[in-house]
Amino acid sequence: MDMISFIIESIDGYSYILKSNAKKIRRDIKFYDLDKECMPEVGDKILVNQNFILLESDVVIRYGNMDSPYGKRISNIKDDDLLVLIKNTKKYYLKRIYG
Amino acid sequence: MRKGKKDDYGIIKSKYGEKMAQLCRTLFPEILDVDGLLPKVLMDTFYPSRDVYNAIMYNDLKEQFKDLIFFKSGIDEVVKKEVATDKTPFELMEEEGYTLYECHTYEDILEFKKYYSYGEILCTFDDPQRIDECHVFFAVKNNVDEIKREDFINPQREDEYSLSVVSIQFNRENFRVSIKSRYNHTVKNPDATYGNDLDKLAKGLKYSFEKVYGFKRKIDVSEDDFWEDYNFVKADDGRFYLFNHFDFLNDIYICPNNMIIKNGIPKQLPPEKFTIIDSQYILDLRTGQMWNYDGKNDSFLDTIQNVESYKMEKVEGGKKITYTVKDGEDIEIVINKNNNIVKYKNNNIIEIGDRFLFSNEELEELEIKNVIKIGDDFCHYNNGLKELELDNVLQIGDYALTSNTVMEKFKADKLIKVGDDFLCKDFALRFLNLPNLEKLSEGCFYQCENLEVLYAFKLKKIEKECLTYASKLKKLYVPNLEEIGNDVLTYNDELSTFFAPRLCNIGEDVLYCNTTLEFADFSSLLYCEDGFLNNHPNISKFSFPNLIMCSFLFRYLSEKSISIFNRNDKGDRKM
Repeated sequence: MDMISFIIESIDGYSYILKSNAKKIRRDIKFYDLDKECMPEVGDKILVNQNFILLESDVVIRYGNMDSPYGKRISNIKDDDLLVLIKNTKKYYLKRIYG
Repeated sequence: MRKGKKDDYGIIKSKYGEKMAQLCRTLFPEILDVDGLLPKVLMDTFYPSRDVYNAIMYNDLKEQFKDLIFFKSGIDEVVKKEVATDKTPFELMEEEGYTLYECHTYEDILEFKKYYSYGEILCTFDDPQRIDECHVFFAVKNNVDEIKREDFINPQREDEYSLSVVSIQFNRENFRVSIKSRYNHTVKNPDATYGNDLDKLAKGLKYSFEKVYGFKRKIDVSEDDFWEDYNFVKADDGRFYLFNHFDFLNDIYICPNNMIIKNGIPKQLPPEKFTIIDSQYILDLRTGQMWNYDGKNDSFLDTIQNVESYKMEKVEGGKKITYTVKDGEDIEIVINKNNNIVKYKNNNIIEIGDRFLFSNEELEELEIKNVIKIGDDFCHYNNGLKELELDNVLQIGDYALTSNTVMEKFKADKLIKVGDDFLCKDFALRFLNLPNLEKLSEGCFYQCENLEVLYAFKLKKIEKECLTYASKLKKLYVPNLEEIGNDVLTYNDELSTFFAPRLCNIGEDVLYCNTTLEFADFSSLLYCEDGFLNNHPNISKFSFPNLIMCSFLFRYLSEKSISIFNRNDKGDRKM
């Protein structure tokens, strides 16, 4: 599965509108234990596996740092659970956490 | 049955299969009372295919399917007696051997942390705001103390351990439920145990929560988004089509029965002329020519060269495609009833590029005897190969067979180099002999929990996070090993002998949990990071004559000091 780039178009609480080319999707996303400078903001980009599109739209998807004990080990850049947050030119690697 | 009902049943059976017809008869008696209505509603909503039933059952979407069809039909549903229980959730769970607890505060939630194993803690326990976001319950089996984590060596989301303690959480806004496995992320989709179907925990539980607490999920099942989450896409004709593969950016969906939806427009390739294989390759049945749905070439198609003729014949369980090639052996491809490749034989190729059969999950037999080099992402999502012999392969790239959990036998006698995460999730492998391997790259065999024997005579380097969960490895023969990275064999507690006379460098947390090591040769060890043999009861029995410096040295020396001290405690207290 290939990676897709989205721009964060709007954030309302933890409801994110994500835009990629002409397509938009809405997902509820919560981020845990992130430093202030790497919290997502409108205009930032995110890079996710294409399977992210298939995640249920009314479930809260949670992401944390790569060393979080609440998610599996990420095996490669195309992992379903990986999210790359791009703020200006800086990249922050986050992984999906569970429980 | 009235004639109308019988006709409707027959129509549904012919379009969607008998199982769907039977399901509809159970779910929609009220709609079947209106002649012709149910088939019309179904066909206006879902493109006719037998796969619709399979998708609904696989994804536990019976309730949502029922809600959608009732919504579209305009007829109200009568709640069935067998689920309309008077019992509370607590009573229902008690009948199933559980005690159900409702949490009102974060402190209440923390009371249940003790039930979760190291490395499988829910993020709920680290989220003080969760109680504001969700109604949180825990259900604990009454015999929970008898159910031991170490007895479950191949975790499954609905096994006894997983279900012995479940957290049931209802989102306060939409009452969406999440049933969380005791394994957490050790299993796939841990937040959707039993597909989040409460009635599988206890019959009537969903209705009981609705009745007692008002937790009725607020969703509009008519929304397209909802069904897209389960591999249904709405096309321009207003119907949902089940898809196997999609290309989000190019807006292409590959569906069963030769259906391709591009930019919302469904188009079926004539089945007498074409077949779609592995949900991406279009096979021209007349000529045998094969191409990607997007027109691009890939490493699999690159292996099919110099074809002189082709034939396709029925075999047990599917079909076999045979390509006769010029100056070479026949290439054979076997596809199953779902048109997915299950066998591939090609002894003409010597090199395989990146992403070979990348998305294929079902390949069971692979014969590529003359291949010398394999690229990245080889069979990346495969979980069907139980045996693989790569007789001449010298090199495999990164992320090969990363999703395979069933490989029992792997043979590659000439393999010198393997990339990151090779067979990193394989639970089935027990024995491994890699006589020419020189380096294990990062993450290789990471979760090979049942590996017992590893022979790698020429192995010089094991990078970080290899064999991390190889807890049962008893025999390790690596006489030329020079370097071990972080988190190698962290959870091992079986190894009793470690012969590595050339080993110079050890990373963090190597053999962290090991208590069984009896004999070891660390005569060349110079550097060692923290955590090495951290749990070993008697590290001072080993000798580290050349150790320069490391974090664990203090502990080692402390133990040595203590043993020397004790030896001399009959009045002569020398240090």
